Amino acid sequence: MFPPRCKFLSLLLVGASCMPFCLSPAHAQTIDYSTLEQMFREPITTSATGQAQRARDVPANMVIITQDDIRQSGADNIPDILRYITGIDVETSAIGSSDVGIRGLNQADNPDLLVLIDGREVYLDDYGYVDWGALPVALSSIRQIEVVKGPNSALFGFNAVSGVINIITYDPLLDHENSVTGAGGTQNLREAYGVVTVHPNANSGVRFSGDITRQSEYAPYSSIYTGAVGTASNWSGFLDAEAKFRATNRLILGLGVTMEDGEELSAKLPGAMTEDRRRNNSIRLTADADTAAGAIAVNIYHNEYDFNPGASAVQLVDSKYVAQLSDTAKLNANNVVRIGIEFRRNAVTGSAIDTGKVGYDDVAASAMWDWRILPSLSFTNAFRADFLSLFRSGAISGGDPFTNADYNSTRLTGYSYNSGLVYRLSGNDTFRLLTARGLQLPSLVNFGSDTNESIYFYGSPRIVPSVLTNYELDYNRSIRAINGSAGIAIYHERLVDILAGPFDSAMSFGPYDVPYYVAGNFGNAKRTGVEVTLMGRTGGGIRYNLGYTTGYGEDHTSLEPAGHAPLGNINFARSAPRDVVTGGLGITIGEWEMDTSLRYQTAIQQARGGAGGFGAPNVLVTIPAYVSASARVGYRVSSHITVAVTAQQALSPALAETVNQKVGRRIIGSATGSF
Amino acid sequence: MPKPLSPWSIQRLARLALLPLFLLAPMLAHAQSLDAQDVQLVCNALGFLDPAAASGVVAVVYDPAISGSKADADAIVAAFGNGIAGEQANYTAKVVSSDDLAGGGYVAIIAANGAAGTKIMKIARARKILCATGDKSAVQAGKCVMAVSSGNEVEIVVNTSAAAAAGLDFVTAFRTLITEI
Repeated sequence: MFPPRCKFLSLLLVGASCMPFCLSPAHAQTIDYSTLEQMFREPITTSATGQAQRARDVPANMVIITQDDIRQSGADNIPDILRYITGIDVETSAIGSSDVGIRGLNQADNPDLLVLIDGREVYLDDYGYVDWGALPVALSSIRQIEVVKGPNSALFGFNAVSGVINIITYDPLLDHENSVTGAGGTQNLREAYGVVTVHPNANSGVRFSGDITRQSEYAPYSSIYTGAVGTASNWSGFLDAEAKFRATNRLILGLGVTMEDGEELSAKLPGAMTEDRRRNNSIRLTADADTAAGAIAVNIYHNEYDFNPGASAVQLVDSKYVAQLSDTAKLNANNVVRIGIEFRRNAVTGSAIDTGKVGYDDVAASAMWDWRILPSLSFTNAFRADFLSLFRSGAISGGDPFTNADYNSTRLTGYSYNSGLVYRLSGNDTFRLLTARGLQLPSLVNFGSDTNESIYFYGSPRIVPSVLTNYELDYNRSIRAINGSAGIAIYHERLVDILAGPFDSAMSFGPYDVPYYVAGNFGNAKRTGVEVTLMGRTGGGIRYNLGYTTGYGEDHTSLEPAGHAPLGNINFARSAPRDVVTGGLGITIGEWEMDTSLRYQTAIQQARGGAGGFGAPNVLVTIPAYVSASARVGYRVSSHITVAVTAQQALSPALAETVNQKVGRRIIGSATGSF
Repeated sequence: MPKPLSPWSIQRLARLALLPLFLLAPMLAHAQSLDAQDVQLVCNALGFLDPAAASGVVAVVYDPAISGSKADADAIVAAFGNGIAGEQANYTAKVVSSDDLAGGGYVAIIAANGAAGTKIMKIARARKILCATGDKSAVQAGKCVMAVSSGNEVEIVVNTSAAAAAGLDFVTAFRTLITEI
């Protein structure tokens, strides 16, 4: 009998050993984005269904942000790029800390959005969120950012609920990306990042990328922990190495290693900020082959996240192992299928779990069928089933209402689907009728928190994944007259069994009248919205985009007693802006690039803890309507050197986006050398 | 009681509702000749064959019996310039009469206007090389394997039966992006 980790490794070894037999007559292949985009004159993506598709054909509401968009935005982080995309809300709580939400589902430490880098999850399962300041990716190494609005759990699994963001980097085997950027600016910003690609021979390539950043917090910040938090510092650094090797003309192997380290101020709850120290490492193996049975992909990785908020004694180590195997085959002219299996083991240890260890094993099977009914009509269906077993070991505190046996006997089954009808009325008009069901898995802290610090915070093995169901009708039209397109999306989504962690939930009293909080499922929410977009380019080098979104939501949760502010973090309806207008205008004249982006949003309300810390009644705070803007001027000094000046959040010295830290104006100068 | 709408009335209303869309829809150009972008498409597509086509000379074939076919072939060869880089190889082009095609060692065939037909497909099958054209109807009829068009939007159509007969196979990622018939 293998111990669990050995069992996992043995599974991988068995998988690896069968690879040569799986790979019958074949042609090794990764997606050659550069060539295919050049051929089809539009982005290519696999993030909708797992198969390579042209952006126009995907059965999903998808936005693809290209490297040109990234450069022209002038942003030095991904949330500042996303905040100008229709349907996306970004809440910045501190200089390195933002939460990104799609279609109104946003909160401090947002758990509803799955983010990946080249198919490797960077979602953190301990508290269930994405630390955007800790992403080990240099902006210059990104080919495109693929944003799927709406659930896509049928392809990506748990937590692809309100949407998915898949960050696609340049391929070390096929691309030749080399650049170094140095930047400095307000808030004492000092940053250097770069990407270097080496090709020892025609069959191998290695890409190194890295970033080191140090900056100061916007201004003295407020927090309900004011007595405990020291002077905030913000620094981060990472090194990433990705290698690909064409082992034979039938097989491409990949190896990636990432090390990230940093410290930042962040909001774990509205109004509750901590200074977090983290280490974030990963190792990944991939294999791609195109066999007689289709394109087979193997993706195996291990993430380890060591998290230590300085404001408390909490320390967590989240360890995740994932092994995925998929086969995508075009059976005939009109049918493409994809089948996949996946195993993941995810566990957390640390003081928040007392001295125990909590985790789960998940086995999943998925299938996708893309049926081209007519040349102009396709019908795509994807389904995934997850079978999850909880486990817990080690000590458990005396007041915890659950025992290790409660955990070890818990089994969860979840299913998710995506279904999309895509009708291309002509070469210019595309209709999409979509529905999807996504699952948000309770975080490991929600499952297993066991802290005893005069007030008890307990996780629960009884909580179940929350379910978001989305119904959507999209229409897009290419308009040659403006060399652009217009689109409208109408959606309705319903979130059932809203998850709340112990820090969000209602206080109860234990057998000895000891107050405690237990994670749970606390109600439902729904939202209906419309998104309208227009974008185009002129022959004179002008590019523009305009977007408008409006939405109406309702929360029905026992976390919000009548007449009171929400007890915790769950406050979707009021914390999402009713109306948002986004716009962008840019021009290229000779060696000059000038771009500006604007966002207007109506007022929102967020709850924050009242004076006195946990247990005190929350208060609702209104965040007034605001306009946020950024601008960039870039000048290409030579074929190798570009300099740029960027202003972020340019219209006011300090802007409140949340109940936390105000966001200051930033002026950044940069120089980039490409070689 | 209001009279229910007849199916004809519903159809008419639907047409009226969609009329603005049709008015805005540009006419799709139907061009059989290949321009420089089309030629680049063909060269890139050669890299997605399994195995990929090696560097070499592409025969641009005309039918001497068809007026304008030779001129079209000349224009296509001119689009190659000094050579075109495909995904994994480099290609040059040569004008060849369909009567003389059997003699050369070409890596692919491009059929100029009117040249696609059973004669060159027979040679493409025998040599297991790709036949490409701008004439979609010829591909539908099995007279060539691949039709490319890069007008308003890029369209690549492959006749799978003709491809199989020539022993040609494309990689999966490419197949999911094109139209197979």
